[in-house]
Amino acid sequence: MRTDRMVTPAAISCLAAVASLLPSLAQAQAPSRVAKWMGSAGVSIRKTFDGTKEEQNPASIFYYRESTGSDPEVTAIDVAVKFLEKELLKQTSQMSLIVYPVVDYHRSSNTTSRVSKAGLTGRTEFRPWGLGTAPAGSRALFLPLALTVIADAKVARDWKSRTDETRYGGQLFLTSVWRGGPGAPLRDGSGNERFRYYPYVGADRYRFAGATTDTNLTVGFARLWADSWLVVTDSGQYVQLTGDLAARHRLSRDEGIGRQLADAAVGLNYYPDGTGNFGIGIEYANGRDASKRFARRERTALSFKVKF
Amino acid sequence: MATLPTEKEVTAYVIDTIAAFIRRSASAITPQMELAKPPLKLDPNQLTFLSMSLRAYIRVHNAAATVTVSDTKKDKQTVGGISTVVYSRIVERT
Repeated sequence: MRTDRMVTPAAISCLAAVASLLPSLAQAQAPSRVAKWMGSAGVSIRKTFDGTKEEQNPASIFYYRESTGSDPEVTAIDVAVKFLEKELLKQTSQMSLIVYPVVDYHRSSNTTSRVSKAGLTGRTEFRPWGLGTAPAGSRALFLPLALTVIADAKVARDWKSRTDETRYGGQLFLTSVWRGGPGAPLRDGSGNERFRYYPYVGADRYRFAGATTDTNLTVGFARLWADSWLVVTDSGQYVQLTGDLAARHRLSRDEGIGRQLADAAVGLNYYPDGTGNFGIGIEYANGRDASKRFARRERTALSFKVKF
Repeated sequence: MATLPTEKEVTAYVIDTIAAFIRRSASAITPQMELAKPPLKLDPNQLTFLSMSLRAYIRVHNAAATVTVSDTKKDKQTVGGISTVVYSRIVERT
């Protein structure tokens, strides 16, 4: 398995220049107005919104082009935009149902799996009961452990491989208020958040349409996402360590794709302003990439991070 | 229908709910703190559950009123800000 490094000396110089601008960029007024507009429009930017809890991971953007170089383009772009979030069932005390679209784009110049892929997803989030304790006088069901069910359907096009992809699936995860429970932050002696995790399970049905053949695939998965704040104060979080481990099992018949499709990724991000909007990070991923038809890849990428 | 709470009681309820979600003492939470920023740092999932808790609380006092995730996820929304929203929704009928 080939290992690709998207870190040429010239690219490092480019990122260093960008990194030096991050503090002033984070303090600029324009990003605050952008954030306000995005908040009012229900727009969020992340690496992905596929419910993998990578929605806590910032979008990463790295693009470098040197026309005279042996490898003219070095690219790693993973960005997803969620907008027009709409809440249904807003007159009920107990349940929550939210729907929204997501547009995402992924680009990689990895020579073993070049990708230029855009997708559109329609997603619903359903919470059948509340978290914690019901308010006095309410008959709504509230429990210290609450369930979230996500169902979505996606269409995507990869211009590099000239393939279309459709996917629909469902997954669920738990949130608790118990110490050490999923979604409940663990804090240090000063009260600063240090660690949080979410485990979830689900299944997806894929259809990959190529020029001559179609591939249908059903995959079940169990996943664990976690992050830890290594440098944090009461007013800001500066250095984030993330981890995403996925155990996937092909449930459908053999379609030329292996039965075990595990994947793992760890990242280290630095946010100079402590709010998590802008930063720089490095990520190592090894395994089967679900965004690239479960192609095997091992990748280390240094990139600019954006999260709203 | 229960007696209408005061704005102070509403704020106390909001703080107690947030404290339970983020596992922090209520005394460490002030109305000026932003919901989605440190030190509270409620993630989108928790903000949705917060809206559910506040909705159930509102409807105890005013069955025709509600609050949605757009209220809790509003940019720079604070503890005091969402408390004011909840209180205003409760007293809307009067």
